[in-house]
Amino acid sequence: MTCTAWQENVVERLYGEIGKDTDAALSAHLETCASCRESLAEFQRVRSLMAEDEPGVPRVPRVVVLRDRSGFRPALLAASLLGTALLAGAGAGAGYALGLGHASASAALPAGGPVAAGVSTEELVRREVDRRMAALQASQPHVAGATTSESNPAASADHAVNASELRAEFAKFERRLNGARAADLDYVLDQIAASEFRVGTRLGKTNQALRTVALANTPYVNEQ
Amino acid sequence: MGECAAVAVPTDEDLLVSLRSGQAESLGVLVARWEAPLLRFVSRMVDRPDDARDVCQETFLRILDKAEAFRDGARFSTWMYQIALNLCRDQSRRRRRWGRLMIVEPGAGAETPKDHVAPETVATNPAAAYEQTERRGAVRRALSALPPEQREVLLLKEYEGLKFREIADVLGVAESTVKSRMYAGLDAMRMSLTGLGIP
Repeated sequence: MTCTAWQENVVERLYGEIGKDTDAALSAHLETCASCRESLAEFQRVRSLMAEDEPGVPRVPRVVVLRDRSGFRPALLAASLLGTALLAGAGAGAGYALGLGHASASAALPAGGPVAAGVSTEELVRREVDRRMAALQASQPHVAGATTSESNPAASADHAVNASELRAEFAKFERRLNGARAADLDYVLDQIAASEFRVGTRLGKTNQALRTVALANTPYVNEQ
Repeated sequence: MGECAAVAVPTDEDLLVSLRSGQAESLGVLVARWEAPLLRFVSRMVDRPDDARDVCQETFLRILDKAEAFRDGARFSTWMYQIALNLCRDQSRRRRRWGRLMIVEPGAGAETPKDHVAPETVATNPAAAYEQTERRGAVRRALSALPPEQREVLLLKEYEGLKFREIADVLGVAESTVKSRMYAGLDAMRMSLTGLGIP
């Protein structure tokens, strides 16, 4: 181990950044100090090993200068339009999927068979409500007969009350569903707007940098 | 490729001044001058080649963004290495946050990155070539095992050839601190290499 007082000087000597006087003093010290001599020799060995592993010049991404064409840029415009369309499509799909997710979690929307194009969601829900009501009404006498008295005059009145309550419940559910769907769509649109903003900022910066980055030996390369 | 015209060569600092005054093309010349050394340095500081390229690109973008902040009289290279070093540290911090998944096993992952041009000195004898590869691998492992503050100093000095004063400026520490880190780094390298059986 090198004497602490001489450590900095050993490093300076190693890299040739030592003053004349200090160098002479270090030489005198090295005459008498075996551990400092050994450290210096070891460090030189480490340096030569490191030099052997000196990395070659890494391949850097080649960049060419894009001629700055102010004004209309059809390619960029087309790319941004395409990107917007894709994002909007993804957003709409996600919104639809989210809406559908809510619906299927709480109540089964029409299943088994393609949904007719052009039929509104409200109409589909209404149809489903009617279908279920009809099924409920058809099964009600049998269920009532099996569980309660067979000739109960109050049963049909109850049945009527239950049906209207059920219809009101469905209407409430429909409002909730539409509310949730609108909130989901807002969220997705917000996300799309935010990511478009981020991507746009990044693209702008990168574009600006690329345009100004030149190859030293090909200063007149253009995008053609 | 085009022919090089013999023209007066502006210094890095001149180019930055012209960049500040709105001559965005100056950045292109700075990039052409510095991209290779910078990528070489950054590649040693971060583990993944992709990260190294990102850091380089980000460094030049920062230079473009913050050209106004460059102090007159300062050296461009010092400033550039400062920016790159900070970005490398950020990158390493982010990687660490992602846990040990990113840590490359010394034995398996210490090969030369594929996108590096092989160094010029290649041994012709197979046995010698094998030993050389072993030694290089050992040096890389020893370097990557160093504490970051020692590795930074060693890389800037050994591979980038900066003076102690310049390294001190890049790191924002005293010159004596640089030297003592250098000493500690070399000593750690010596022990690592001995431990790895490199004579």
